[in-house]
Amino acid sequence: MTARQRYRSKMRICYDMLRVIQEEGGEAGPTRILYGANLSYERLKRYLAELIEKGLIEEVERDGKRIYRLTDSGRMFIVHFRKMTEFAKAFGMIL
Amino acid sequence: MGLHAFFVFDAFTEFFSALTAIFVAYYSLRAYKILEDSRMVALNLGFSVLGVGMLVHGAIKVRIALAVLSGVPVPPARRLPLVRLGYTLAFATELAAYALILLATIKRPPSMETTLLPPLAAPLLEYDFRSEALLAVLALLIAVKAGIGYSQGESRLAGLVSLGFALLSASHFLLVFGGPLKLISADVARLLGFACLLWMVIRVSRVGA
Repeated sequence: MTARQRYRSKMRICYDMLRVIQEEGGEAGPTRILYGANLSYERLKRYLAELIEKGLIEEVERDGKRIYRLTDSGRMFIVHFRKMTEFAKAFGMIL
Repeated sequence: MGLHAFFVFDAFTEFFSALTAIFVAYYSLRAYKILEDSRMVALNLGFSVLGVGMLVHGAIKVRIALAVLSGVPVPPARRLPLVRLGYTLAFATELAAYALILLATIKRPPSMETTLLPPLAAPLLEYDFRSEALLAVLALLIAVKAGIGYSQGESRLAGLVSLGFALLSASHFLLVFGGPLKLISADVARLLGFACLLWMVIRVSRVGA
């Protein structure tokens, strides 16, 4: 990881979390999101609450375990984030 | 190319460029809302200023063209106060826009506000040598910055931005060094430059689709 890439914006972290859930087939447990998005437990809790509040994911319970499911809004966010990242990169901006 | 055709083509390129710049500005705003990166605000402001300046310049050109085409005797258009005012406005907005776009794309900008802004106390003559050279260099710097991103493989679309600004730079250089066909050549280069930017935005809109 380069010095430039060390800092991740809040939106980048949200995107990374959503991407992990998407790669898991649209549903993922907290541990998988924590490792996949490289977060501390405290930050994971905070960002999960924020993603739920924004309607990008929803919390469901299955076999007594909490899992997080990507919503349609979450899928749209991933697509838009990728588009805008490409747009920024086209101007030589590193996000 | 006849006088009528030239006026129509010149106005077309000006309005096409203006609308493309406003379209890119709109995309920058969308990018800011999603990425929450303040550099997008500078990019948005830069392209907005560029678009509005070109729209006003285009409108002035149309007004002068209509006067010329209707047979009203006018002195050489280049010396008309309205043309000088329009060009000065276009120059000021392009300078501000290029500086903002450059600032948005580099990490530690130099103090351009103090070094690049020329005195604008009097309206400039259209296609003034120094002002066009300055705009050409700024556009070239943006092209080089995007070109570096392209060469490092960070984005294939950076190639379009680089080519677009290289063509915009060429259009300004043509006005400085060009021969008799310099106005038409510069218009064509600018048209192609903005077409590259438009194509880049269209390609972005297809990402993930």
